[in-house]
Amino acid sequence: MEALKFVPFSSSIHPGFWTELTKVKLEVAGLNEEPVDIIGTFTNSDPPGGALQPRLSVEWNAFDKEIETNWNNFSVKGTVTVKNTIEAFKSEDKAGFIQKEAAKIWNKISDGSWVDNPEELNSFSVLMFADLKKFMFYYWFSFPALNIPSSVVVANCQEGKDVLSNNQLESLTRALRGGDNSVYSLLMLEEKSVKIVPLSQLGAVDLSTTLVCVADPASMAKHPGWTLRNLVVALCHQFPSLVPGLRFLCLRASVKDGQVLAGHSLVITLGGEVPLLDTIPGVVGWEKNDKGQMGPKLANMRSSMDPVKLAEGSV
Amino acid sequence: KVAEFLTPVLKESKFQETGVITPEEFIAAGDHLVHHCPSWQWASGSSDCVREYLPPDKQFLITRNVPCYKRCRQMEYSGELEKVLDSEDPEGGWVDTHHFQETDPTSLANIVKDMVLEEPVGEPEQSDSEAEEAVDMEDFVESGMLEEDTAAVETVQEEQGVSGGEILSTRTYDLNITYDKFYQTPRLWLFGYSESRTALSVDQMYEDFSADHANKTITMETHPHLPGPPQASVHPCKHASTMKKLLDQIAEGGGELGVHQYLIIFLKFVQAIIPTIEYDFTQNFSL
Repeated sequence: MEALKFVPFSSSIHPGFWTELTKVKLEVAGLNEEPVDIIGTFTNSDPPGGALQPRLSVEWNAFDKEIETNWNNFSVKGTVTVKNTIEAFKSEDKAGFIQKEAAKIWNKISDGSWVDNPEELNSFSVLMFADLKKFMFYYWFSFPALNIPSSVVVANCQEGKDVLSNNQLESLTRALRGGDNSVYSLLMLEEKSVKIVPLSQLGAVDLSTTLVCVADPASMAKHPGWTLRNLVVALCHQFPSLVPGLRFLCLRASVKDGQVLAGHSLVITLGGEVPLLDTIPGVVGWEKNDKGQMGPKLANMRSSMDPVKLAEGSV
Repeated sequence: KVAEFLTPVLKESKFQETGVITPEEFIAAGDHLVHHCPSWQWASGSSDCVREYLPPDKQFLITRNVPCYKRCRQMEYSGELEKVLDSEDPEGGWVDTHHFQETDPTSLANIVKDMVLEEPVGEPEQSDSEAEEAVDMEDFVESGMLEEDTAAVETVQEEQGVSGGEILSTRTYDLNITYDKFYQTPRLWLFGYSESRTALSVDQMYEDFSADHANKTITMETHPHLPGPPQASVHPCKHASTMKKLLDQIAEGGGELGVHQYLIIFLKFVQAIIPTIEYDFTQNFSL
């Protein structure tokens, strides 16, 4: 029995995002400091071995109402809160900020609405100050996560290929490429194939042949990524009796020589005891900076966005 | 820009004669690539930059998160792996330095593990020396106020063997292939992220382009479908002639190359320029 540990997300920003953010701040938001909806993405296709840290990416399309996703690229809804001054950015109550975001997730867990919209368990919020004159962007990502009761542990951790047959793995990768790419679903194992059904069927399926399927951004052996975390809390709250013995397929699908491979996915079986969970657990999730400290990051875009610098460079 | 605006869209197929392709042929080759290489996808790009000669949902091709474990100078040069694709023109010929190599990400990761020890990851560049811009990010670090997370795997500076962690830092690239209306060929764009997930500067990206090509073949230009600062791109001025030479070589051998295979071949020959960026391409195509 081992404690459940998760590999955190690391934020990744395409320069096109800064261009769009500048536009939104100047043309739409103005001095309004209210959170603005954005969309990010993550992939579950990193090569096995943990060389890459799981990434939540925001790109040029983050402010679109909907964005293109595909079989190995999943969308995550989030918000960006742009402060008007560096002082306001600094003095913002960080604990209160993430607490508020986590409370939204907890509300969906406690009223049971998450079962039909499990994607909402997975969110991110960015606190930001944009120094538009200097093309400097101060930002701090949070990936709100609720603490899982410490009595819930990992009973067993295997690789997908030890649990699924070759036929089932093939059927799975075929289904992935044509699928609706939900982050959360149920994977029903049939004799020589698999069937993917919505997570909301959980109470109605045979759990001896069904795994809870979670798109997993991590690539480390043994440890799943952030997407599993709030789901376990939600399950502990809503289906406490199902949790011990419940199997999760932390789905990883890499591509090699044109083939989609999923045999290195993790199959995690939970064990331990599930206590009564009726109040919001502790909240964590601020991203650490490059030095491993609790602090924001800075993107200095002067050399690539400042028209003066660009003009100098183009001579 | 002006030249592109004034160039009419290529209508008739001239692929076999000159190695250029029409937008329709680009779409066919793109569909073929997406079908055979699942890591590639069509993208629509910014709605402000839609080119009307391409379908709105198939404006360009994208593959994200391509790992780049090491810099070009760290590549061990091995003549045995090399194949000159155009032997008659050593000056401008494409050299495929990876031609006979099986890439194995785990062994590469092991090499990188060793390299990290002797060569710590560089500090993010601070090119702006102006004093007013020197912001002390340490001032922003919060202590004691935020709950410690005991369920997070420490990914920074975790020593190998401790709690089984083995996170390494690796650059990644997003690659895009657009249709270049002026040169009437595909065009490759590269966008890199550092080990700490910040955008790579031009100079940092040059470390991942082969020395033979870095300064003459790669240029910084505005992406036709995306907002943001200029991005690195493999200049397409030689693409058509390279493709034509390959067509001729294949014809001499009695073979024939279909236009739908264009991008698969294209990805193979640009690999000479970015030998350490490990994008997936399928079909083992022998020339």
